[in-house]
Amino acid sequence: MDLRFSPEHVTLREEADAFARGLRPTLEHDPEWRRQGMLSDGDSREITRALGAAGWIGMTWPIELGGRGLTHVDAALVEEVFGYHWLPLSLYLLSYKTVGCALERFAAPELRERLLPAIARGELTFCQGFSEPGAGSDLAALATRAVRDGDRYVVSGHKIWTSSAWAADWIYLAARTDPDRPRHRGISVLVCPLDTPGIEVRRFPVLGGGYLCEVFLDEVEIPASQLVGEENGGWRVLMATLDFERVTAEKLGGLAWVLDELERTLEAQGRAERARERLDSLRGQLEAARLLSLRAADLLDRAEPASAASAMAKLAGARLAQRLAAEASGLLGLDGLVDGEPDASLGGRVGSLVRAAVASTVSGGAAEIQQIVIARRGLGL
Amino acid sequence: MRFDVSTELALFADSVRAAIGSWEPTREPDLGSWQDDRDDALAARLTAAGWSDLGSDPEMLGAVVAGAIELGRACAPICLVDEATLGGALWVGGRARHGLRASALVAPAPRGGLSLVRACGSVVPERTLDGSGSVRVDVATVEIVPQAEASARWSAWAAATLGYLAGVAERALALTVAHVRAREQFGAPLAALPAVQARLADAALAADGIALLAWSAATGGRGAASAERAWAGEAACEVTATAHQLHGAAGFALETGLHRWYRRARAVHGWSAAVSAALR
Repeated sequence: MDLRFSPEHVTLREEADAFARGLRPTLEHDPEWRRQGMLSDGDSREITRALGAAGWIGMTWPIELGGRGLTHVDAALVEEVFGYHWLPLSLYLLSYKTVGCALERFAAPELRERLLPAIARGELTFCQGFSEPGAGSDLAALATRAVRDGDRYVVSGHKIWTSSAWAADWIYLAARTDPDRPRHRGISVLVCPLDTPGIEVRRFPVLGGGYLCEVFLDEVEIPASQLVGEENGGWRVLMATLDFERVTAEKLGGLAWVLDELERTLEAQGRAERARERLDSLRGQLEAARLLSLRAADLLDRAEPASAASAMAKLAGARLAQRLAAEASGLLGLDGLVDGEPDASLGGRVGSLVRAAVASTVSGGAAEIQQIVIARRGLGL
Repeated sequence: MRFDVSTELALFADSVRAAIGSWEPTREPDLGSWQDDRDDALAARLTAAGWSDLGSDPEMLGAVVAGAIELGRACAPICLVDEATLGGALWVGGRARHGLRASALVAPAPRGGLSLVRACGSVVPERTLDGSGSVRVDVATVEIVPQAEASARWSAWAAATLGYLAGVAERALALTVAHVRAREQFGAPLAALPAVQARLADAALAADGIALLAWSAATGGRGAASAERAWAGEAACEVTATAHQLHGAAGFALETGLHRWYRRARAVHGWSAAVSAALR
C-alpha cells in the first residue's frame, strides 16, 4: 500500500482550497449557511453554479462530457477540502456524485450527452426520489408506479424525505414498472424535469437546518428515452448509485475543520492538554474514516465491488459526526450549546452540528442498513 | 495512492507467519500470577526470517507493518515489537514490559525523544492483565539517542504497534466469524441473527480502519502517530470485547484462548497511551 498524496493530489487540493476560500464572502452573506449543521444538507444554487463554472462538478467524467477525467480518489480529496470550508454541497453531491455518476455508468449515450455536460457546468441540478411513505430502508417496497404507454411512461406515486427537491431542476426517480415480478426485479429508474406537469413539491424544515421535501407525482408523463439502464433493471442501478453516495468525503472535511478549531479553541483556553487523549482519539478516528473513504473511492475507480467498503466509509463518517458533536459540546461546556452565532466558539458551529448529527446515521441509508451490507457483502454472513 | 499490498510485502508477511508457525504461549496463564510470554526460540526464528532491528531504516516501514500484523494475529510476545523497532525492552512510567531478561531498556522522553536506560535498584515482577512480563523498576539514563534516530525508531514502533493491533483485531474477528457460522441456536447459525451481524459489521469496520492506519503509518511519515494509536487501541479493545460477547460462555473458558487477544489489546493500548504521554 502507498497512501501518500502524489504531487498532483497536493496541487489539486491547493486549487480546490483557493477556490473555496474565494467563496467565503458569498457564504458569509447567506443566513442559512450559519445554521447548517451538516454541509451535505446545505442547498445553494449560487454555489453550485460557481462550482460548475470553475470545473469542479463531474471531475471523474470524460472531458467530452464536461468532466476532467480525474479519479474518484481525486474527487474525494477535493471534496474533503470543500467540506473543510463548509460549502453547502447538497445539490453538488446529488447532481454529480450520486445521480450524475450513475447516469454516466448506466444512461444511454444520448441521455448522457444531453444531461452530463449541463450538470458539469452547474446549470442542471438533480434530486433523488427514492424513499416513500412505505419504503424507506426497505427501498424494494416502493410503490410508485410507472406504466409504459407507447413512447412514454406515466408515473404516479409519492416520494418523501427527498433532499433538495425544492431547489433542483430534475428528479431521479425509482419506480415500479412491473408489479408482477419479484419486487427487486420490477423496478426501473427514470429522470425528468421537476416542472413536468403532474409534479408537486412540498418542503418542510428539518432539525439539521434546511429542508426535506415530499414529491407528489400524478400521472406524470416521462419519455421512454429518459429511462436509466434497462426496464425492470433498476435495482442494479440503484445499488450502484448508493455506492457512490456512501463515500462521504465532504463530511469528513467538515468534521476535520470542527476538530481543528476545537483543538485551537481549547489550546487558547489552556484546556487542550487535559483533553489530549480524547482529542487524539478523535483525530485517529477521523484519519481511519478518511482512509476507509478513500479505499472505497479507489474500488470505484477500479470498478471492483465496492458495496461493503462504501458502507464502511458511510458508517465511519456518520459515527464520527455523532461522536465529535457530543465530545465537542461536552468539552466546550456552555459554549458548545451556542448555535449559529458568528462570534461564538467555532462560529457557533458546534450547536448546529449537535442538531444535524442526529441524521448522519439515518440519511443516505441508515446505519443498520450499512451494517447489513458490511456483514453480508463484506463478511459473507 | 495504492490500497493493495505489494507482492514483496506479502511474501515477507508469509515468511513471518511461517516463522511463527503454530506458536502459542508455553502454558495457559494462571490468573493472578506473573506472566512473561517471551520465547527465545520464536525470537530466533523471526530473526532468521528478517524480523530484527527494522527500526532505524525508514525504507523498511512497510515490512514492519506486514510483520507486526502477523505478530498480532498470533498474539505473539510484544517484546518482539519493542526490540525490533526500539532496540530494547520498553520502559515507561516506572515499569518495563518484558523487563526481566531484557538485553537493554529504552525509554521515551519529552518531545519525541528516546533514551537508553539501565535499571537502578530492585526489579519487581508485577502481576498484570496479560503476559507482557511487566516489572516495576527505577532507571537511570545511560545515553540519549540522537533525535534523527529516535524519530525513526518511534515511527517504526508506532507503525508496528498499529500493525500489531490490526492483527489482534483481525484475528479476533476471524475467530468470531467462524464461531457464529458454526454455532447454531434457534435452529440456525448465530450468523443469521441481525443483532449478531450488526456487531460483527462494527467490528469489521474497526479492524479495517486499524489496518489502514497501520499501512498509512508505513508510508506517510506519521512519526509516533499518537492520535492513530489512541483510536486504534480503543477500537481493538472494542473488537475483542465484541468477540467475547459473540462467543458467549465458550469465549470465557480459558482453554478456548480467545482471552489472549482481549487481554493483549488492552495491554498494548495502555502501554501505547503511556508512551504517548511520555513523548509529549
